[in-house]
Amino acid sequence: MDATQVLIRPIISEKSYVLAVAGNKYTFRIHPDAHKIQVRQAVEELFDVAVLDVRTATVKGKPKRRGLVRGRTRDWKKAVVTVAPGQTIPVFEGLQGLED
Amino acid sequence: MLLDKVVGLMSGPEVVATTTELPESRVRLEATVPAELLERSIERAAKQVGRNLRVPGFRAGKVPAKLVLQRVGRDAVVDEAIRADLNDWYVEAIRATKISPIGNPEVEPFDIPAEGAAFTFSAEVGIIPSADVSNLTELEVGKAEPSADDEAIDRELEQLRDRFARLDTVDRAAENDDYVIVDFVGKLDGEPFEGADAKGQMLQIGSGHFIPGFEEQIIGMKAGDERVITVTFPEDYNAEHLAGQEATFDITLNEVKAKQLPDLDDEFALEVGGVDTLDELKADIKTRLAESEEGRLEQLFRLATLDAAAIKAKVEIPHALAYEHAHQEFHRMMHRFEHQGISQEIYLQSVGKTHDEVVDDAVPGAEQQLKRQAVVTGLVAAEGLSATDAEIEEAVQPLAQREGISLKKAMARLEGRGQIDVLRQDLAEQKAVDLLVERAKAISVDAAKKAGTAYTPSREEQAENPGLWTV
Repeated sequence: MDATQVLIRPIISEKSYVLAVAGNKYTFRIHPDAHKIQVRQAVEELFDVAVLDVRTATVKGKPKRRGLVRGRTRDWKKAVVTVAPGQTIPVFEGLQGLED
Repeated sequence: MLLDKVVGLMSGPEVVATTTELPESRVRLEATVPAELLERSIERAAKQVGRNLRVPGFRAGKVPAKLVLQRVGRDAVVDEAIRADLNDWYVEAIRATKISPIGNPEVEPFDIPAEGAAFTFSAEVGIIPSADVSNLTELEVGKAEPSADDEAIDRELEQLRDRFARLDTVDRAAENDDYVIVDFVGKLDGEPFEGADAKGQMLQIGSGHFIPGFEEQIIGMKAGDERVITVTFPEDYNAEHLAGQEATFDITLNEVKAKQLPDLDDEFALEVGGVDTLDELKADIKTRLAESEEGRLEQLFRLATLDAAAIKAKVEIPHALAYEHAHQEFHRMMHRFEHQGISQEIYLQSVGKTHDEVVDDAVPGAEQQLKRQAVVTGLVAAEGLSATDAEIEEAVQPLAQREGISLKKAMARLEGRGQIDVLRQDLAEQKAVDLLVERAKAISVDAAKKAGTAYTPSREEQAENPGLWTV
């Protein structure tokens, strides 16, 4: 898998902002089949930083209902990447995500 | 805790400013706000903007400043920040340059500073002109002799008589100005109605406290007389159901009392003033009047001295400046009134003038005030007057005592509000006036009028022309 396929887009939210500022951890939505090794390689390749740790989680889709029709949104996978101290990824400085 | 705050305010970067003098007693102010201060202001503005900004992933108002800047655009936020804080920076700049501005400044359009750069702005504002006071030693100022004429004494005596008057029951028909004690029952269409009956009510005929016509129709009644009178409630009467209605009142007159003014004799003198003879009482009143007149003249003489100095130094106040000052004073006054619950509309209605008329009328007074201020400012500078720390402490002492706090605390409190500097200035200005008054030579009012210098106004002149009493 190509690096740009592994990382879908950065997640910009209150939680991810706090993590980035306080812990140098950056959050991405990643390909559902990508694993930690691939994420590490992708981040190192795209942003030229040293990755210390990668944690991944599959986020369950939310149940949705429209009238009597039950359904759910898609499950998706995210990764929280810890970057070496002093290094940054400019996700909050205008990097509007990778090309989806 | 208060002290911490003060120190916190004092430390860190400050607004710096320079001034260039312009004609017409105006100055151009160039102020620089350090980047650090600007940055803080931008943060505040971003937070403010962020309150109404919805960004996915963030609750309203929780968007970090950085993201707000990025989303809304830096220039827009910086513009907002400057708008919000320009006023404070202007005040700080004024404080830094130690000038005394009048009215509102004209701030020139400013450029949005680049990131990390300091912000500079310039403004033009009128200042109190400083008069050239080098030749003010031979000031001649007209001063009226304190006098208490017989008329004033008689007026005072009449007032005393009135105050010590007794009400005596008299056996005659009621006349105007008499006091009567009545019982009455009011009827509408022959039916008694609520709130319209009383027993033993005392009222003065001709006082106008009752419905028009009521008091007048009692005239001629004697004690024990009964009479039915008809009155019409005025159209604008408070109780709506009565307004404009015709009503009858059954009146029983119990007593007629007349005001008995005490005779002007030695007995009266004893009762009123604790002195033996009427002449002594008159002498007492005379001294008292003369004293208060002396005090009044003393105050006026100080002002007249300043006016004389302004005339001699040929102080000119540009009209625009006087207008600005009048305008500012008017709004200050309105502000005070608003605290008492009087709105500007109500005030203008009560004086029957428009906003512009009031301000225009105040211009001559404002001009006068500025002229005096110019003399004082010039004198403080020329003589190098200043207040010592001891003098300031002396001035603060009464405040400290009133508030029940130590002198030190009171000083710190004033310092925190920046009022020590104001006080220092005030004291120096007082010294300047003292100095001027000391050097001035009092001449008679007539001589002053001839010489074209200022003089203390008579009461009539003062009433006629408040705030403007020079030739």
